Amino acid sequence: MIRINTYWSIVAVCCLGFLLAACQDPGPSSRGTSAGLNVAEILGSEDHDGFARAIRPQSFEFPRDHGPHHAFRTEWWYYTGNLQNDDGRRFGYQLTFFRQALQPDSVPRQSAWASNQVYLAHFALSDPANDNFYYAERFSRAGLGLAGATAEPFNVWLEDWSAGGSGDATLPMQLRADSGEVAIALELDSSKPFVLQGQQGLSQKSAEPGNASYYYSLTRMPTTGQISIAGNSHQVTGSSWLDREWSTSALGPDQVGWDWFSLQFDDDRELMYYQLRLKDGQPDPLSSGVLVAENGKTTPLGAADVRIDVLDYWTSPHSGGRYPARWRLQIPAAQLNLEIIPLMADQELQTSVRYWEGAVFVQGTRGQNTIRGYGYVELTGYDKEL
Amino acid sequence: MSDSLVRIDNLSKSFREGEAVRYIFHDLNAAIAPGEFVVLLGRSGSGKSTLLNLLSGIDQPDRGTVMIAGQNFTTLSERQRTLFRRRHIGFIFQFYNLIPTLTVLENLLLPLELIGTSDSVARQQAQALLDEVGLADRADSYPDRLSGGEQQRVAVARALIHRPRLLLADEPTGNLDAETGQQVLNLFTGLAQQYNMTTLMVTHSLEVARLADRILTIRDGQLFEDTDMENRR
Amino acid sequence: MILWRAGLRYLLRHPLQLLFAVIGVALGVGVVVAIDLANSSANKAFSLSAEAVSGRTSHQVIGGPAGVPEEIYRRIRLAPILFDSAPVIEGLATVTHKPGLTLRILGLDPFAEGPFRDYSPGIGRDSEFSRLLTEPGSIMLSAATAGELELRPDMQMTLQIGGKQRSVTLVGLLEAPDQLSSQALRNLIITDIATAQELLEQFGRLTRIDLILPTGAAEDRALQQLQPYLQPGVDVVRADQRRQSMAQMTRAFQLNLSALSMLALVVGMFLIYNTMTFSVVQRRPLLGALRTLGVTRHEIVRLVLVEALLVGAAGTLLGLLLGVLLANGLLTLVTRTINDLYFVLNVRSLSLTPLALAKGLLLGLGATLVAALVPALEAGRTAPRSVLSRSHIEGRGRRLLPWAVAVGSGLMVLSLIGLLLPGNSIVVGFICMFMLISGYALITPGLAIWLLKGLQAPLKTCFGLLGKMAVRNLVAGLSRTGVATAALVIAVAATIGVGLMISSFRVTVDNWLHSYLSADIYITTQGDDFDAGRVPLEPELLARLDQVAGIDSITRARHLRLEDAHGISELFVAEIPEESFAGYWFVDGDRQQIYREFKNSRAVIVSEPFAYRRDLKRGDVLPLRTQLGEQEFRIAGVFTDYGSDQGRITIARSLYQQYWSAPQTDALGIYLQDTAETEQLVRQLRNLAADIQPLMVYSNRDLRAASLATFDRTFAVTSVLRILAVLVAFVGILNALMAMQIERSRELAVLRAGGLTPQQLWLLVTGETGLIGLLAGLLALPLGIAQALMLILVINRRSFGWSMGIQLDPSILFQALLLALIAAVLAGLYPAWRMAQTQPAQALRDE
Repeated sequence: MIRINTYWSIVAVCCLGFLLAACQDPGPSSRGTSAGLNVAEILGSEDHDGFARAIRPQSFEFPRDHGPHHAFRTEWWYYTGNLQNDDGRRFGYQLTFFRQALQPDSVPRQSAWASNQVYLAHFALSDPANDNFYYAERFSRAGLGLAGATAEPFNVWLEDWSAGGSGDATLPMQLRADSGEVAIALELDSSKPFVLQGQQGLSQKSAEPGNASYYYSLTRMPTTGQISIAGNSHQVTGSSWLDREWSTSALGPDQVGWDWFSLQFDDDRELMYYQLRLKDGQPDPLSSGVLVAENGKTTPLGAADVRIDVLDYWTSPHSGGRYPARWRLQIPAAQLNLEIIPLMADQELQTSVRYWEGAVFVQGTRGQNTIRGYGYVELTGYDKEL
Repeated sequence: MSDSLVRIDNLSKSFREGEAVRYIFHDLNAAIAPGEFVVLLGRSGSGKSTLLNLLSGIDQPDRGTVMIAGQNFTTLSERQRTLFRRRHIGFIFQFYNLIPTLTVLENLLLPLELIGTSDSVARQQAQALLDEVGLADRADSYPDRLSGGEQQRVAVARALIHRPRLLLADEPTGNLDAETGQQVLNLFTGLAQQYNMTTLMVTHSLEVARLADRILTIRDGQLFEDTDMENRR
Repeated sequence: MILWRAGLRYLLRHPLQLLFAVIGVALGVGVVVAIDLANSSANKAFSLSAEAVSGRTSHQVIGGPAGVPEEIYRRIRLAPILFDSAPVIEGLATVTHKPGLTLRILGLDPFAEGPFRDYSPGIGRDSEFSRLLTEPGSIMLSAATAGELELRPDMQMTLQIGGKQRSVTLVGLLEAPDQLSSQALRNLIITDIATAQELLEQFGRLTRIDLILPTGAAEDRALQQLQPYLQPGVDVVRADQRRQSMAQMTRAFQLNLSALSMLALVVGMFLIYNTMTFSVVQRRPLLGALRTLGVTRHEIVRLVLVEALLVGAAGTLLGLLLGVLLANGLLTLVTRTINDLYFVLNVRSLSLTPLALAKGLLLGLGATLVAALVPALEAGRTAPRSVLSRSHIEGRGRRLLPWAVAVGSGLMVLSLIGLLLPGNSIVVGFICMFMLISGYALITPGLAIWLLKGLQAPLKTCFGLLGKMAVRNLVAGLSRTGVATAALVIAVAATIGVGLMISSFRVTVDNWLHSYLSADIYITTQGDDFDAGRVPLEPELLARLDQVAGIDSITRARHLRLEDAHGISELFVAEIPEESFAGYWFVDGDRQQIYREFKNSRAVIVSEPFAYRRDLKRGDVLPLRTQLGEQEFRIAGVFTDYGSDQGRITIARSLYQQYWSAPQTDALGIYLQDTAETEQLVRQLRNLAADIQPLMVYSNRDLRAASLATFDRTFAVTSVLRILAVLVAFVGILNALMAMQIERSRELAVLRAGGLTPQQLWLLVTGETGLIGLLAGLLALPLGIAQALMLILVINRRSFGWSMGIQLDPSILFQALLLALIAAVLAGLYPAWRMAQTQPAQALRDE
């Protein structure tokens, strides 16, 4: 999963929150800042000297690898999930923690504020029943304990938003976030083993060696807990998905964005697929994904295995960006023929980088069987400024 | 009587001098017909100038009335009297009293401006009159550059420029040598006649008095009409 | 309009008079505008820098002398509280390669800043941001400030912070989105909060935490929500209140300046009055002639007013120009005083607001109109054909005299009553002072006549008839001499009043320093000034001092800032031995008892300005925010202190330790065994510290001199104003007397024709003006002294809470007398010269 890899150089600029005169439209909660920024510009020149690179597959070790990897520039803990309350009302949520190293080495300094690590978090909640989409963004330095991540016990936090284990155990995980308008308090277990993405967890993103990440996922995480919207609390259950990824560099110069799908089917299988888009609008051959079977067995997917047709478009009234809004996804080798439909159209995050990240409903057939499910889709690079 | 231009009835005036009150005159009565040239004689301090002041409305009597052209001055306000004066009365003084900061021409223009004559008309009239008094070439000079006789000629012109109905002159030749005085007087009487103006002139000069239609004399606070025309001829 | 031409040409024909009148107004308006501009520029700079520093902050968390523990910020951020907060560290630095420039360091957390402050850098180079956060000593400046410091990105400079040298690197430029922010960013060093802590050595502490709380009922809820995260000694205050109380600090000072500048304008008004009165009196026959021609009273009044307005307009325009020029100079002085007395303020440029200029214009024209009103009405009253002679006018003037004396006396009595009324309004104080001045001005002509009549006999004995004539002339010319004398009296009295006040103040401060500074040597850490909150001394230095021979004893002190809802005060933590305590002057109470209380109980002593400002007295209780929460301290005594008008709370070191943490030391008082060795020990101590920390080592005498130098600097602006008032007065007297003499040309010509020699003429004229000068000088003495008393006993006390001894320095009185005399004699020179030059015949002909 590429995710918002380029955030990091962006965050670096936009975290200059105070430096941005254009920091208007702070979104639902403004305990941070947001700004319309141009992703492409920041993609250009990056100095990777001193950072580790993802070149060879490595062995993953837990709980160590739940924690931060400071040798790499960028890292994230990406939770998404589809939930429903007792009445069957559906909700989608996203809680993401990003870590970015400003410098590879940290100079020893006397101030407790000093840190070369910066954290960013996005929290979003979709309420399709009322056609409401809530989101919030936060930034912080790692200094003074305002944000950070630890492996043992597992914990990643940005101020009072956090994702952590239970006591010394990594699982079940506890998610907490509150934007003032909406809040979540969820417990996530895992019913499947870790899925190592790409080549034994090494996920190549563009041709240049090192433009890759280490990437693992928990694809089915039974979830219970509470969400509250404008003071109304809902007891919810559902299923979440965790992506963990760290890297120093990823995108090549001719890549403009990506469409990323994570789908959980009612036959207890999952599908992850990301399609990188090139400047000419074509899918990058490096696009890839994985099919996860009931028992956790994985089948890697390449660009040649997947065919995606866009069935509909949605133009954002906020940004003017024109996003795909319904897809037909076909994987002939797996006899999969799916239609993916957003639970609601407007799930665009007007954060420092604009993107669409939303809960979707999926239905179709696997061979002769009808299958249904829910999932999340992320669309980047559709911002008008691109 | 409506046929007299100036009419005074029972006019009394006194001055306060410290604690004492000095009476200038008592119950004066007189009338001057339109076009008449009247000379007022009297010793220094007899009240000649005071009478002129009362007639021009720049001073107020203790009692009695002053009627000029049918207007009762004693019932007018200070402002009304001033407005009346600027239109209907012309003044000539012994010491000229030209405005030193205005040129000769401007001195003539001032009375016209006060009664609201338009600028171009005023200039024409002033130039013409200056011509008549023989000072056309001095139009742009300041008064202090002029001799006494010239200054008094300007003063005469200024007094007549707006064609007042009543001309008051206070010893206009008193400050001039005999010859110059005569010149000014000729000019003065000539113009007064030409414009058919009523004139009251204070003078000590019997020469001048002879030219008058009538002679009034103030003595001991009373006004006497000198009917002895022989004195003048 | 021909009528107006007549008036204007009159003015042009008397160019000297016109010139002086214009200069008079120009000076008056100029001084007022200059002070107004200087004040408003200082205020604007203050509000801009306050705005730059506080942004959209609604509330602030402030702490005790040590600031706010950063842990509080962490707690607030990690709590589920949903309003914006941002940490701030502020400090001051000077630049090694730009002496005299003080920069404000503002340490911020960029991640928290968004909702608070908008400064914009050149976006696009993310390395700036990354360096700001990760490289120690990285700073950002506005392009203008960087330009001023001759810095380009990636260049280094050395800052002096608390006597230590710190190298910083400019990593990027802040680009202000508009003119206003660019001004606000001036002299501001923006750093990451970590860098600021390192530069200022404020580890673990913040200057404050900025908050944006909701308004209305939600505000209280938010404050309640916040409460559990605070701790004793830490409080939330409203940002605007805090800003206001800061701005209030300089209010009294600025008000004093404005009032003094008004004095110059009042003298200027007298000048206009005098010029117009003179022109009316001189033109009486002319006005009479105009009246006979049928010009109405209103037209005459209007004519004179228009003339005055033209003079006033010329003077005002010139004054505005002068004011702007003058303001540049005054701004430096005003800012310096603010810096010495209140807070560091960088005012680099004059802000020329249309409002300030319009105010000057209105004031100048308004003053002119008011001043010209009386002469204009007087002119309107002119009877046609000048029925009244001059002696009549003078007669009427004299009839008015008793009235003037009555009204004047009434005003003075009112002023006295106003002063005796309880209350401490500065404005009321100034109103009373102006009432006293106007009252005195009104009785001046009466007093002058009375004095002149007294002089008649002696002068006749000395100078014969000529002497008597001089006095007669003056008495006869009362309508002009009276006003001229009054103007001179006011101006001279102002210089006496301000002069006596400053000298009394200085003598008092000097005496006080003598008594208050009892140690032989003082050591303090280097800093820009003697401000509170300076860097502490290194402990190693204190250890080394123990080894120095010849030291009898050492006392340690710490200057701290204590802020509460009332504003900022200095908390002076000191060890005071009983011998030094004897040097304190107490307003009341028994010194020994005060000392016992101060030493042994929970009591503090407070300075007089502090007590005055807070309305406290000995025996009252003063609550202070300590680390154990708010605690009440008894006020053992109120002591005289001229160090700060904001006030000082002095607390025993041992007591401070109980309620706060152990204090550091930033100043030492050293008592020697043998004072003869002072100079030698000063040198020794300087060497001793050289390798540890830069120090200021003063001998007792040096410190006193340095303190007095600061005092003089503080009053520099007042002295300048005094000189300006004198200048206006000088021009005024020159104008008035010269006009009077020129008017008498004819009379003097008659005298010359009658056989007065040119020498005698000189004598007569300069004698007359000199006599007025002498008279004015003498009459100014009582008013000047009264004004000094008012300034000392009322204005200074109400403005700053200072009380001081009264010193009637005879040299100031003498100088004032001399000033009046010289101005007057000078004023006589020109007319005397002119009259001596002209042939009597010409003068006789002229009028």
